Amino acid sequence: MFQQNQAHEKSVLLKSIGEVSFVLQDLCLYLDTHPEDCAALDYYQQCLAYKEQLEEIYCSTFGPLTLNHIQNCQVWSWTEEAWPWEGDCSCGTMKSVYSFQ
Amino acid sequence: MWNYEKRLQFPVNIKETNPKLAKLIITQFGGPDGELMASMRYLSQRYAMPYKSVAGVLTDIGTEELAHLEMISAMVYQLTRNLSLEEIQASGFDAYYVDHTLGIYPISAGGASVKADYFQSKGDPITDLTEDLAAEQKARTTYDNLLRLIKEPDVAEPLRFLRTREIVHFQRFGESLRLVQEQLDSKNFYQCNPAFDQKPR
Repeated sequence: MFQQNQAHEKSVLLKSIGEVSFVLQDLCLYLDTHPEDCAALDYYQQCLAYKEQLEEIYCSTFGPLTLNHIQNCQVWSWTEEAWPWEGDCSCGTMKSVYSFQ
Repeated sequence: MWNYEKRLQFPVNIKETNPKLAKLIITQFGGPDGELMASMRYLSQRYAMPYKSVAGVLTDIGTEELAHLEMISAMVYQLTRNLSLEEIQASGFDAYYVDHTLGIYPISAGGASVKADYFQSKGDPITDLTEDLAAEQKARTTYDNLLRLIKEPDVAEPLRFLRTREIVHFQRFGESLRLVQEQLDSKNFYQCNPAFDQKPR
């Protein structure tokens, strides 16, 4: 039950980080060609601050998302958690009915 | 200098293996209009781009394409995870398996290895940006073609995201071309190559 809650909290946080990061990415491309848009610049700063907050929480609980977030002094945590291409635990474990056609 | 964030730009969680789909989707890794050479194109073109904002666009879109090739690779990885020899043979994945086992390697849907011939870095801002506009449309068409063939929702969703990004990139390159033209002689854009001619020594 605790593990389920943890897994849920982890995926909710990661989703929020993904969403704000996407806004930042899209804003970045826009600001590259519109560097004087003050409203966009302000929004970028707000989103950056929010992302950093979320990352602090995520990284202190679930492990580092970047090499700048290494907090564990006992163990090299960068390689501890699963890599992002693994997906969630049931990925690629079900055999497609189409595999045999 | 590049940093890595330990997450995908858009989640990839594919429940069922499907090597037939993997053979098609891998083309957006190593195919002629795939994400790998898109990234190399933009990251190569940025050095000769004399306008800082456009060099920024090339750097930032080139970097985003690296995140995209990671997503495509994750899709192929999940679609072929733990395949048995029978599944490999039955799906026609055996030719790839022989050369790469279940490793991820950049090839096209037709089996051609990735080539630098797929892009140009011509050192002329108008030429390079025109190539970039075409590249984004070619990638968009490839995703359209894949989405006509692929109905599984957990496979289609990340592909739909990637397709939308191609359209946004096209938009940005269009703005970049306009910015470049604004810097040039409006009576003749081709009077000089701003990346080569009239450079201070």
